[in-house]
Amino acid sequence: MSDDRVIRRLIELLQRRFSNEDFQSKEKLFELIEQVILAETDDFLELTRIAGLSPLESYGGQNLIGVSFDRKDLARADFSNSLLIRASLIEAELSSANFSNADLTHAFLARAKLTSANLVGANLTSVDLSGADLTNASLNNAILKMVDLSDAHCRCASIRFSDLTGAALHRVRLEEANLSSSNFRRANLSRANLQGANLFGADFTGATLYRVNFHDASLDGATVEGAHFSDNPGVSREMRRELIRRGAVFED
Amino acid sequence: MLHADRSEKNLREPFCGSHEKPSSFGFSNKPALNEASELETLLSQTLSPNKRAVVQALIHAWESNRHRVHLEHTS
Repeated sequence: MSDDRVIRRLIELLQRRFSNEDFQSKEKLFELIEQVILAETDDFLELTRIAGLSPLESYGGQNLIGVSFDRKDLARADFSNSLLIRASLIEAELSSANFSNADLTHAFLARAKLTSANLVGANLTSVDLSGADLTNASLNNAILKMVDLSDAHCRCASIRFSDLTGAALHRVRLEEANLSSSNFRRANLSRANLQGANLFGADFTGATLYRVNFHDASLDGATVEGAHFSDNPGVSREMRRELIRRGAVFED
Repeated sequence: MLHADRSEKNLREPFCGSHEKPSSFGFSNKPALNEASELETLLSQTLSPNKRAVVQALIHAWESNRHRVHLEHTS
């Protein structure tokens, strides 16, 4: 269907939908829709500008499935309650952005900057967050099943009551992070840095913990049944014996 | 610049078929669901994801502002 036909059909449908309305701005709306559809560009921020919308305030609760704003600056933007399934936000600047309760399933956020971002209650199942910067971010009550956080920086992040079942967490930096009551079942944390992290109530059942740095991180109160340890800085002999007693497997 | 109404009510409203006005007989005057779904299908099948998202946000922002203007005029 040509753009002209799409616009005609769209305006027909909207005319019917707003048939009882008598606002002059209706014509302005149709004009803006036409400008967006006929725009030469597909750049998200440029289209937002053409539409007269605010890139920081107009997208909360919206359907943003499959959108792309790689490398765009959307710091402090509101995406709360939005659908961002399969969206591409690679290397985007998203510091202090609000993604609370958003659905980002299968989205691409590799190397995105998410410092102090709010991802509370978000669905991040199978999201690529490799190399992302999540320093000070809030991910409490988030669904992070099968997420890829390899090489991500999550220092001082709050990831409480979250589900990271099967997550890839190779070399992730989690110093001073709060991971209490989160689920790391079958996750791979090889070479992760958990120095000073709060692990109270965390569940590492069946997780791979080779070369994980546990300096100043207490595993008291964490579940370690079937977790695989090896070459772990910060695990004393005493602690090792105690972890083995609780079902941990040491391979060194 | 258009801004979507950030009230809880509007955040939870789906994009299509969300405008019901009680008729004088107490029945709902819900616009035909097939029209709402045709609008959704038209947007998703003919536009890029970026253009579709912006057009939908634009309609949403316009509807939110229209409600606000309507309330201001009638209160």
